[in-house]
Amino acid sequence: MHDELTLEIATPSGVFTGTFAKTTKVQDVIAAVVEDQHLAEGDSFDLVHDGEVLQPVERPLVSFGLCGTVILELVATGSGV
Amino acid sequence: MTTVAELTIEEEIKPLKHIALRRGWHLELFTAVTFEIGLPARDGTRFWLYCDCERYPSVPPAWHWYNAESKAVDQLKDIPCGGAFFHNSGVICAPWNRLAYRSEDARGPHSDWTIGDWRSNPYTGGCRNLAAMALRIAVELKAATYKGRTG
Repeated sequence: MHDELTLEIATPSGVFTGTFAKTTKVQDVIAAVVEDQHLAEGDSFDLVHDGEVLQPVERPLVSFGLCGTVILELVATGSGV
Repeated sequence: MTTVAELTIEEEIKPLKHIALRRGWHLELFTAVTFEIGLPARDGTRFWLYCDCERYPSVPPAWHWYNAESKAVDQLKDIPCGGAFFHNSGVICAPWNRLAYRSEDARGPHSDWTIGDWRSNPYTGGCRNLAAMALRIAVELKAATYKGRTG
């Protein structure tokens, strides 16, 4: 389907694969994966594509130029201290 | 007798193996509590880490930068710079790295953290298992802030 994306997302619980509408917001993808992978809901995560954090999370997937099957990482938010 | 560290690694290595398989990362266990992992960087090169999980999870793993050929650890040419976690002392600066603690390693930037509290340190965030830590390192190596090798 041209209106959908297949996302393969590496997460702290393993690899998640799912199909989402291109118009799905990043924050909704994160929420869906956190629930599916039984990650702690109190933790904060970024969705990352090829080293780039997809933000702001209110933007839809399609606005980042993603298409087809996309390889992503769901990483715990943080920075060096 | 099987240790807590061995049991924990046995469980936590499963998702990391799954990710490594799908991403083409090299992952090899040396012992029940030590392994090497090779991660691709933004410039097409690969960085290696030697992870020592002795006493884990009471204390965090020691993530050493590593040379897979010579087996040497913590050599400048094998250490990345830039990124949000790559401290100029040569260690990954995060509560989930044992080497970040001055009490464990002279290069450790932090004498203000208590190593036994690493899971509850606010800077740990969701990096509480091996896959989460490896993913964080992998993302930093791919980030625009990555600046190549230290030496």
